[in-house]
Amino acid sequence: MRNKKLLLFALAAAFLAQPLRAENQFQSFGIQQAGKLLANPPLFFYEFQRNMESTFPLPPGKRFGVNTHLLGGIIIIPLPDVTSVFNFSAKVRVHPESKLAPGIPQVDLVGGYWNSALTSMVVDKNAKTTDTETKLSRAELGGNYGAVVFTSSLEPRVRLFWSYKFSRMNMDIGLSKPEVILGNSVSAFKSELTEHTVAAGLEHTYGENKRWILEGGYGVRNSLLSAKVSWYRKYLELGLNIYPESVFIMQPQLNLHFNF
Amino acid sequence: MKRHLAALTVLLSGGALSAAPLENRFFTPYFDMGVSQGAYLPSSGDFFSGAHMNMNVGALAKITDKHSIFALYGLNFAGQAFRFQDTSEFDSKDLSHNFNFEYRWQVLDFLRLRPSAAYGMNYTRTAAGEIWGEGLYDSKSVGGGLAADYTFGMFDKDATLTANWIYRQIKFPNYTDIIREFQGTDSQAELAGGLKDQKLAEYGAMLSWNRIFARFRYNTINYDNERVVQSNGVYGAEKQKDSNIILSGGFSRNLWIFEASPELSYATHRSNQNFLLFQSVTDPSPVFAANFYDYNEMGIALPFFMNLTKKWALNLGLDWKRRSYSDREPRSGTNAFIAGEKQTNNFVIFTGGVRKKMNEVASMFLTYSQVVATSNNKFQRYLPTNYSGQSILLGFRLTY
Repeated sequence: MRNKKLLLFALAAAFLAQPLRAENQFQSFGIQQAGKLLANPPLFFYEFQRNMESTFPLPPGKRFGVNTHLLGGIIIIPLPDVTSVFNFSAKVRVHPESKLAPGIPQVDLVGGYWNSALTSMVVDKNAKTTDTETKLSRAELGGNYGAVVFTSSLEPRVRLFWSYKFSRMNMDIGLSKPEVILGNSVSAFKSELTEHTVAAGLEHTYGENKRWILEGGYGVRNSLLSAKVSWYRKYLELGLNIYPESVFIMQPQLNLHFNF
Repeated sequence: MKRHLAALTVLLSGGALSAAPLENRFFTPYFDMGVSQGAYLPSSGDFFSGAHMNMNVGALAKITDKHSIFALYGLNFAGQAFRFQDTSEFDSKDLSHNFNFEYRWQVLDFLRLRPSAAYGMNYTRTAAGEIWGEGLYDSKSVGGGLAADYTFGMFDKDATLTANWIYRQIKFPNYTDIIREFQGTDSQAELAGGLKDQKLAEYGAMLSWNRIFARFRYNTINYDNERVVQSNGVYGAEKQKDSNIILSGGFSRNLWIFEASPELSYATHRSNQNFLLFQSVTDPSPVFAANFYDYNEMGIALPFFMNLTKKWALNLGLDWKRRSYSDREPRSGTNAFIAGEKQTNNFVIFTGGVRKKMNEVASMFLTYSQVVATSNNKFQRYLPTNYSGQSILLGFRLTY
């Protein structure tokens, strides 16, 4: 353990042993990322929806499942995000693997919905343009999705799954007065985003009610790449979502599910 | 020039096709995925982050003992990273989708034929930050191929000799020549479209035995419209033709707790295209440079792992690539050719890190890299040729 810490320390020290230009570097990086956000706000919020969407297959022998996204976020520790209150997903198995004929995959249908109740807590409906501070005059965020998942066993403990998912997200955020952000005058963000995502992944069972899942996906409409690695237990799932082109690339997740 | 060659390399890489598991059942899936995210700190310029992701999903359908069909979809994303000189900017990105269908016919016990069809799309974003689908170097390719695998015994072990031929028609719908459009009239400007459209043919052979391989590839690229610029600064009637010869070899060995898989490669690139060096867009007397794109390139890769436990391993590595241009003179910092010299680029990567096997099919890794790029070309307004940099990469790898 001590050696590992020393190794990590040495790597970090070597990486940071550069001329002191860190402040400008981080400022520049921050401006770049803020620019990405402003360039397409719905894409930024859609990542939160992607975090609550679940296209993992139902475990073998399970016919029905429900799950909810508890915590997510943009830093190392998962925290409540805009979808945490409220979101809900359900899965139903319409065909068990090899029932109709040997080799025919398990087929699951998935659907989910979210509507952010947290936004009402930060909205000031009495906000006026004459107020000194800029406030949120309205904030509506929500979405839904549907998916079909096909799953085949490669061997007793390994399953391969494919999925197609359709997602829709709506956002309507209004400011009490226009704000200049990075040179742009912004008074509202209002948009709808739709996406068609094709994904594939591998599930590895390494113990009773213990699964390790890796999934990669591609959103055809907006060229969105995503990957997810998850430790899936009987009721809880700890995951790490990876969005290579995102403002926040790695986003940890904690989800709760019940499968029957 | 190198950008489309890199894209072609993706299109041409048939390694995954032969890597699918062969089992005695009708339907055998194939899955391979890698994801990594890195932080990069160059010696000059801002730090940046970049991700890489590749995924191959396929299935082998065994129709009879001698006949099967293999279908493979490959997704590859290469984000921001340090680059080999004269290729692309650190901030450039590539996203490709490739579809391959292969019919496998076991003609005899020792001979298998594999005709194939392929379709691919490659999207690029330069540092200018185009929208996906509107990249200057976006391309689409369609084509086919034929491979033959001859299996035989050699020193009590099976060896396979594979000969293959592929053909691709590649279109670059967004590519244009800005200088020609700037200099030309409206009607001439239209002619600048389709300049990069090309037809590629490749012949290859590979011998593999006892985890040792040797490979030969020869390809030709014939441009549909691009013509060769002449010493008088005018494009002539001759169309551009490129060719590449690539020799590579290596082996992989496990000895006690050590794993090593060194590789060597040597490539030659030849093109009949020449080059005009403009000091500015309105330069009335550009300098002519013949055989500007010809080069020889050598590569060495020395990955090394030391397994500390069944799950944890330390890794060290060295990659070295050296490109020597046949006729190209290096440029000074003011963009003037330096007479009497030939340009040479060196690109060295030292890596060290840890790898953890998470289970039988997956592993994660944390890697630190030091890159040193040197060149006698001192003109680096658009692409850095002399730089160093450090990076830390965290990633996952999964193969079934």
